[in-house]
Amino acid sequence: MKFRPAKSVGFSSPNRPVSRGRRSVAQARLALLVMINIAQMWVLAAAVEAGLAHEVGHLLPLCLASAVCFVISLTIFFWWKPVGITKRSINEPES
Amino acid sequence: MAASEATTCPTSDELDVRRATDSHQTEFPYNRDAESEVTRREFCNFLVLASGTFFVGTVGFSAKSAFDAAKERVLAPAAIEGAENLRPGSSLNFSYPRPEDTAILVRTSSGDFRAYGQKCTHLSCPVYYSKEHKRLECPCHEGGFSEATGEVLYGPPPRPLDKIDVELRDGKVVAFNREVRGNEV
Repeated sequence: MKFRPAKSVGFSSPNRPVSRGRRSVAQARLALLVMINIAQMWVLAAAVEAGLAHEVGHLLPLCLASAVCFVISLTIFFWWKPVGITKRSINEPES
Repeated sequence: MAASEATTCPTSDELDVRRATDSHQTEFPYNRDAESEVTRREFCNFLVLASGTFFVGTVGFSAKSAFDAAKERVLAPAAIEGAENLRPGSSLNFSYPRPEDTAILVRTSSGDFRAYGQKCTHLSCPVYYSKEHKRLECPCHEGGFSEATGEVLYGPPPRPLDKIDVELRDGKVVAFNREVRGNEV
């Protein structure tokens, strides 16, 4: 009885596209950034409403929420990137 | 082939403009179609920039609001011009203490003078006096305030109108204090 190595799901190694998954990661980044922007717009609108209503106690949590959103977007922008086109993982050196 | 066609084919219909500027393109090459295209990378940059702008805007607006709320002002009394001729059941707009601080003076049917800030506490639309309902109404989002106290009667405003203290001095109606209410933390 012969045992064959288990095949990975999806593309086998020789046929695997070079850009495997990169486009998905890039589009996911874009979608996340758009969602964060929408959330920040909502936070800004809430801050304007709270400021006009002199609800000073609501302003600090709103500022913190906006700061967290901004930090997340910076994180996505600077550190959450697709791997290089010639690499299969971030730990693999450029070939 | 298709790619070269795609790059040369104009996406806009401003062919006349294009023909007219053809001669200048050699000296000042400028591709309008390429300018109008936005790559995903550029769009990501824009989104991060927008995120930073929203953050700065939120912090800036909050800081200004908190600073304004904490600031205590000493206000000089000021006579309201024409208030002595105000008939019961009518109102008069004025400014106190600064020209941009709009206010409304109401003479109730009993003859008392009441003055409030004219900005609705919801989103700063100007309120007006409704004589038949005996209340101050905001036309933007249908908020209503009491004529006697400035308290919210209905609608979205979260707090009462700013209260301006007025009194009669030598036959003139004088405003001498403006109180922002409902901002207790």
